[in-house]
Amino acid sequence: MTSHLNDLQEIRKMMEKSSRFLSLSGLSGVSAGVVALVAAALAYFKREELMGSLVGKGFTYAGKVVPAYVDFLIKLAVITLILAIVSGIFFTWRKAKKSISSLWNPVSKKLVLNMAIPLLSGGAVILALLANHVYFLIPELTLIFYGLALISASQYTYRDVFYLGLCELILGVLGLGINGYSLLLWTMGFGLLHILYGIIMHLKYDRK
Amino acid sequence: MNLDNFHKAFENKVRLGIMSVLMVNDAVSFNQLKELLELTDGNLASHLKALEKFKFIEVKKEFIDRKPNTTYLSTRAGKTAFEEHLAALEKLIKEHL
Repeated sequence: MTSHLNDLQEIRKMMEKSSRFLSLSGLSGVSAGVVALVAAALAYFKREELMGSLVGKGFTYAGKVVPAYVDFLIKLAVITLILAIVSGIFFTWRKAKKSISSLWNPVSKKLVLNMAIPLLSGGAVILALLANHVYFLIPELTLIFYGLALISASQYTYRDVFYLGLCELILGVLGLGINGYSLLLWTMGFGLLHILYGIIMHLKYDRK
Repeated sequence: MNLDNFHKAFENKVRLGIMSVLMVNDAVSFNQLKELLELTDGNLASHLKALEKFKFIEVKKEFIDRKPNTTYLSTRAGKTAFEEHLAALEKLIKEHL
């Protein structure tokens, strides 16, 4: 009897291991979240510096944006994205204890492809808005497209990623309905949610 | 105990593992199988040969960037036999509950 149970466990394990990318580290989530928190703080202080006198103090903001602030945010966004991706790959590589090339297997390729489709679409939408000087929807759209990307990628990794994606999506959609809380919602979505998710994943899967 | 549907091809844990991987993936390379199942070249090759002999798997040889690349696929017969094996396992466990 026990040998049959062992057989079933082996079948299940091999099916899962070969079709899902399970080396994703919880610490990757934490590091992405920390990077996002630092970026959000920098964005906040820069806004106070450039526009604080125009709109007064506070976390919410719905006034006119000065071009210098937009330039600063674009540069900050690019650096934040790169740091989040690099630190994310680093912790996943460290967890897998394998070479980067062996992490790049058919399953992780599917994961990246399914994540890239919504993300690149979102990127195109945001670039189009930037080109037309429409800024007020961008933070919400980053949350929405990122949420969709996670939901789509979750078929190829831990199911938990689906719920993280859903939370990001809900935050983004909420932001569409309320004005002036973009930075706060962005900080919650990319900062706090990532850290919370990362800690949960680390405790659930990494510490074994 | 009803063992009619217990195919002897699946008596071995390695072969069971290979079939499990090929049930949920279209085509899997030798090296991926080796890594997933944590086996040596010789050991994996002999079990692949055995499954090939049962016509449960199919070998596909292609060239990618002029390098030979061998991938393995499960055949219809292999899928059916594996499903019957799973059903037999399920039945057996239910009978003992």
